[in-house]
Amino acid sequence: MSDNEMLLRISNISFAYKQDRMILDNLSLNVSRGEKIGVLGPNGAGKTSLFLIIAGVEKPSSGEVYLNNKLILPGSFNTELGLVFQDSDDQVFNFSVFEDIAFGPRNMGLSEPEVARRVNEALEVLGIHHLKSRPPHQLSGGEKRLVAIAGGILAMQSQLAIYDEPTSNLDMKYRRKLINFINTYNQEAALIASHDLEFILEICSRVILLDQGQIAADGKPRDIMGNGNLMEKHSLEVPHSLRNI
Amino acid sequence: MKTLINTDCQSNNIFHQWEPRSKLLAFTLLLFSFAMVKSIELAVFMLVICSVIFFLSGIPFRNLLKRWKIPAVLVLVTGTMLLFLSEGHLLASAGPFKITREGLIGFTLITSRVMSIITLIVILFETTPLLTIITAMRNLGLPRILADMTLFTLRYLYTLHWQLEQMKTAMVLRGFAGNKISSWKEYAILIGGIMVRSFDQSERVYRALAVRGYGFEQNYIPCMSWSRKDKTLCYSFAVLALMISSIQIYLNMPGV
Repeated sequence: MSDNEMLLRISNISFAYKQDRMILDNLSLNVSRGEKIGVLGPNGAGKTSLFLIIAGVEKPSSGEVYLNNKLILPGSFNTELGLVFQDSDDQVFNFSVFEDIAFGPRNMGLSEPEVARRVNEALEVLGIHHLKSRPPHQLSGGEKRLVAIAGGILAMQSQLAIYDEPTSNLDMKYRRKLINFINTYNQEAALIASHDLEFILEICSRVILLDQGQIAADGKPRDIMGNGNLMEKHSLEVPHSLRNI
Repeated sequence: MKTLINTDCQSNNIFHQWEPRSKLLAFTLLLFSFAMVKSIELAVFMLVICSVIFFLSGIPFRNLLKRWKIPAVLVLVTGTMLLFLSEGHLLASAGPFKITREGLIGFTLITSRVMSIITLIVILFETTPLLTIITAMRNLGLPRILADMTLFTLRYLYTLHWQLEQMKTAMVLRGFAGNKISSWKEYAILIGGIMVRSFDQSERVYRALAVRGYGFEQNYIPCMSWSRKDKTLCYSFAVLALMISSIQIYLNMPGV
């Protein structure tokens, strides 16, 4: 794989909140442009910690992360990546949807007309323009999730989109809307952690299975998620649609 | 919770359309001048001004009553104590209760001042969305950290309230009656739980902010512009405030 094709390079990272229990253990991963990677694993496997390290929010105890061949420094602001958090209430903090989506672009130092253009474009893409002036605490779970995506990924025009449990608390309508969006939106690469295996199956071109801080499997979604023994060994189940294959 | 923070203030009324920075300045000046009032004549004048502003604002009276409820009780308790416990020129007495001229003046001044101030604050918050008030404060030089803290506190009050309600419902479903003295232990655990949860959430919120560049701001201050109408309104309020405080200062002078 040439350097131009590679978007993200994670090199031997380890991470622990406490010394006695490693969350990530010497983990390496390369992500190419155009890839949508599903990150599977039981609870506590280290998925969220991995995402926070990639985003530069947490500092790994060892190892390095490169995005576009540029070293990600902990505590830095990386405009090339966007992260959608598990709980939208943690992310959508402002008192109006417009202001919340404008938060990232303003921090990027963009002019006000450009900020407004990006916000409006993000709202249009997700079909939530009618929520523009609404306060986030009055939105439903699905609407909040779309606002979080608009602010965290679309308005920042991120090359790498990271989604942490994007379908949690979503009804079928918003789940379908999210699938259509991720499938059509022109992001360079995406990392998606989810327990919704059918969702991963429908979106991802590659899957990694994370357990005890290490990559236990890496390959095509159907090969990994259709392997009953492998899935069971890591406290997961074969998704319904693959059971009779 | 819905009534706590007004987030949707749409109207063509003069107070709704007033530019928020000048409105905030004008109301603040008037509030300070109201707080200075110590004479009965000025208190009457203050009540008249307050009533006129309230009438012009077009806010339904029930909205004002709703917000008056709690402060009214507190003010009445304090005012009543003042009314019956003040020493001075005796006006009336019934058993152990005495009403003095000084007590009556104190009672009237305290209630009229507090109620006028609350009415002005209600008008300000009923005619301006909260976010706009915070933006106006930022525009007038409030440090960003203070504006952000205010914003976060108010925003997450809703989340905390929702969590508290969920936890209470879960307890009730498992037989918690909540009407005994011993229930205080459970209430203490409930509040402790909310505090721990909010601490955890604050860390998650900070992470989410950091990913979108919090701390790397370009010191953005939203743009606001004053029209001639806004300036006229602001100057009128300022003149009124100046007049009230000047009269009060004059009345405070020895020999007057």
